[in-house]
Amino acid sequence: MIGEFVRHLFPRIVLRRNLRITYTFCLGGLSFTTFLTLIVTGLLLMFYYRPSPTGAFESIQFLESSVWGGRYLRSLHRFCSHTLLVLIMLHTLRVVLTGAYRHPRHGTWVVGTLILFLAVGSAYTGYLLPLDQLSYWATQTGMELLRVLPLGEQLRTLFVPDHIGGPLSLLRFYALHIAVLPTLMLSLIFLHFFRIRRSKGVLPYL
Amino acid sequence: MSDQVPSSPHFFRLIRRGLLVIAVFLLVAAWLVPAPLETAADPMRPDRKSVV
Repeated sequence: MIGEFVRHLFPRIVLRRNLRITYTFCLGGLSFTTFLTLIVTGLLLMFYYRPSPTGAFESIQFLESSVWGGRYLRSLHRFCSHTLLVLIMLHTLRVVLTGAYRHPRHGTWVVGTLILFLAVGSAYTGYLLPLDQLSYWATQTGMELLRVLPLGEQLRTLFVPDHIGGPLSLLRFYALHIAVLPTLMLSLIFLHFFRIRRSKGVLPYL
Repeated sequence: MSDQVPSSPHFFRLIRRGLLVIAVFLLVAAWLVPAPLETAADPMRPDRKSVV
């Protein structure tokens, strides 16, 4: 049943000349596969992670030292997040270079750009969660950079009401990372797919 | 019309290959590049040390 459902997401027929890897380099599909891997590994990490200033680092240490495959699981999650950003940026570059952002696909382009921003936000909020020196100082730097933007001070207060790595800021980063941003991303991804399928008559793209 | 082919199996074969390539790449790369973990965050000490 799942196989049939997945098949219906794709066109029934395609042009033979479009069946080459250089057509789109499958970058959108590869990004989506990486995103799904991120969701699965993230769900597994949630079984051990504790979003509190005293528990976060300890839970990661416990995961890495005492859980079978825990270190590999975290490495996979981290590597997938980096790969997702690279793939989405390459996908964006391909769309720009082939002119696929133009009418009537401009809406799909806008949705895709929003997904790119959400992916960056998701990666950034996840960076703080281990609460080690690297994540702490990287987040500190990012939040200082945010201050120079218009409304940056208000945004910083929204994300970090106490201090970097404090109970409230850690909880907000965690909520954004595991619930808000992935849900928004998934919704926009399906809208992205829907718009691509709706434009199926406008070849040369699927 | 002769230039058109059914997605199954032609297009889906391409998708399956792409999925396999990215899955193998991610699984192997995650094994080769372990995620770093430094000492616990300390706002008073900006120097960094790895615990892994």
